[in-house]
Amino acid sequence: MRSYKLRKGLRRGLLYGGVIFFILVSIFPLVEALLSSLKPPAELFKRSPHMFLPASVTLLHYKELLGGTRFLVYYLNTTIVTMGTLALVIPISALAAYSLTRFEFPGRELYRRLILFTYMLPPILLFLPLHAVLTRLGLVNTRAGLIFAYTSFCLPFAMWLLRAFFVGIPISLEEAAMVDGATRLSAFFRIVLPQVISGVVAVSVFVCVVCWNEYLYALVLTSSAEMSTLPLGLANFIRMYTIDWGMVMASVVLTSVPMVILYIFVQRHMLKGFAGAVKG
Amino acid sequence: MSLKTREKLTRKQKEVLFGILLVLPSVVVIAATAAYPLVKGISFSFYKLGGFTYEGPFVGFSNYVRVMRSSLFMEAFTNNLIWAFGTLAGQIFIGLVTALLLNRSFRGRSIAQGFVLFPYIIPGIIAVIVWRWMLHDQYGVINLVLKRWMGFEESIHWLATPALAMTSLTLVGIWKFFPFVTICFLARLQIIPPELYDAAKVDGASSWKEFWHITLPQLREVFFVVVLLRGIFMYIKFDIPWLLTEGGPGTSTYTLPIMSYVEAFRQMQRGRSAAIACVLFITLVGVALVYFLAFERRESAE
Repeated sequence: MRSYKLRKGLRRGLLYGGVIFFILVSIFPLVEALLSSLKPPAELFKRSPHMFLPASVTLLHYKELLGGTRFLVYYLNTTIVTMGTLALVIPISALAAYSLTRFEFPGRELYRRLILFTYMLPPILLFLPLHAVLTRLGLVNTRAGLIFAYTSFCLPFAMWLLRAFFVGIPISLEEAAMVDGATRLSAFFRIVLPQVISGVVAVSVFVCVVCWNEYLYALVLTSSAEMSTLPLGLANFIRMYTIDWGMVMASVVLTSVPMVILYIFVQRHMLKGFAGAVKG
Repeated sequence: MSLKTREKLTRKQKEVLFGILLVLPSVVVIAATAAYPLVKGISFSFYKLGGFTYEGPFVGFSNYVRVMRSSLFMEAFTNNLIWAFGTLAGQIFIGLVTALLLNRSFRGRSIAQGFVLFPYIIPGIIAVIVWRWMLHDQYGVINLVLKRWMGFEESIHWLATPALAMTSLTLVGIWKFFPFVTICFLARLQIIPPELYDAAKVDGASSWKEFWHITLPQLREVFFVVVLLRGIFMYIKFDIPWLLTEGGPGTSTYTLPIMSYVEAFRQMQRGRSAAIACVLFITLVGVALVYFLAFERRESAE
């Protein structure tokens, strides 16, 4: 009996030890960035009196970042491009996902597969032709051009994920509403949409995250600092000959904050969304 | 009677038309943003495109021949495989371990889940910056811990030593992407019917046996999908290798996506860039297909 308890305690200890270890592995680099962004330069580079914690806290790096660089321009550009892509992608993908799970039409299965294929298309295969297309349209180095490019992977991605959510909604509910005289469209808005709203929110968050984080297309399709997005701007911060690490760490913190907040907000939907995506 | 059938038919046809109407916007947008560029990209690989324009003479397969004959291509290809397999193996292993841990019930589990998933949601550039800071020769916390507390005398140049650069890069890749694997495995683990374990408990099976005979077989399908997805994503990854080391030092972390980008926007050889991208894509589809068929055959054999 005693050895049983001992073993149980040991296993508990191992479990907590393992969990704490992996939490540290995951968040330490970001915590280190946050702490570094608050240290005065002398402390930052000497790493004394403490290795990790700041002895005195300063907002100097944040002032420098917001006042001395184009960081806010990058922020604005990234927000516009992310929101623009979202506004384009979500309505189109919601209608399409609904149709794909409700209506039988010729070529439906083929289209479903094509969506998956499009989602899996490597951006490395598309960056050059997208640059060519947008050059011809006169949209290189514009936010509209970036929205165009981001839609190429966000739309199939959103359709694929949303389809998994729509499949779970029983069709009988709409049929009942339609027997009561509702049209298809009003059945969609009044019956179906409220039920998949958590799915739509989760997918919107995924779309936001991938747009916010995107680097390759932004690198290829923009050419001036005025049109740069955050990943591009930050990449330029660390390409300078002398890197202002304190300021860079401040930019890391401010760039991560919206994603972290969004993520905490929808964390409980996350597992579901992923499960659906993998299953489908 | 016949009137009724006709009415029904038209109603059915209406449904079909309505269904098509709803997918139509997505068809148009995908055609414009993905399908057309895809065709264009493939056709570029058969043209000699020098300089800044997208016009040039048709040259058949000479871009492919030219590219694949270069020694840089073979190096990039090898590096690409090392990077893809290294990060894939690492993230599958850590993803499995973390998923098994987080599937246990303990206090604060959902918070722990949240924390573990952090690296995946931050931008690649942020992952690169924080790791470049931690691996920094002079100020990086890793070198300082080694020197101050572990008795190392010299800093280790993690990213500037050719022999070490790929290892460092792979570790950063694993750190960034293992949470994806964790979520996928965890989602599957949570729907394993508990009865399966109850039966095993009655039989007095050890936890290792439980894992081997119940948990692992249940994870099979998701394992297949996750390996496929992650393998594809890692093979085509551009941002993390480019931002962390730009392919260097020398060519020690030079991969095919980097090569494709450099050809297009540094060397101004856009036909060759397209050819590299196509080779990347063809090899990817080939391997994915073989993997897929092998799995199907094994499934049907059992």
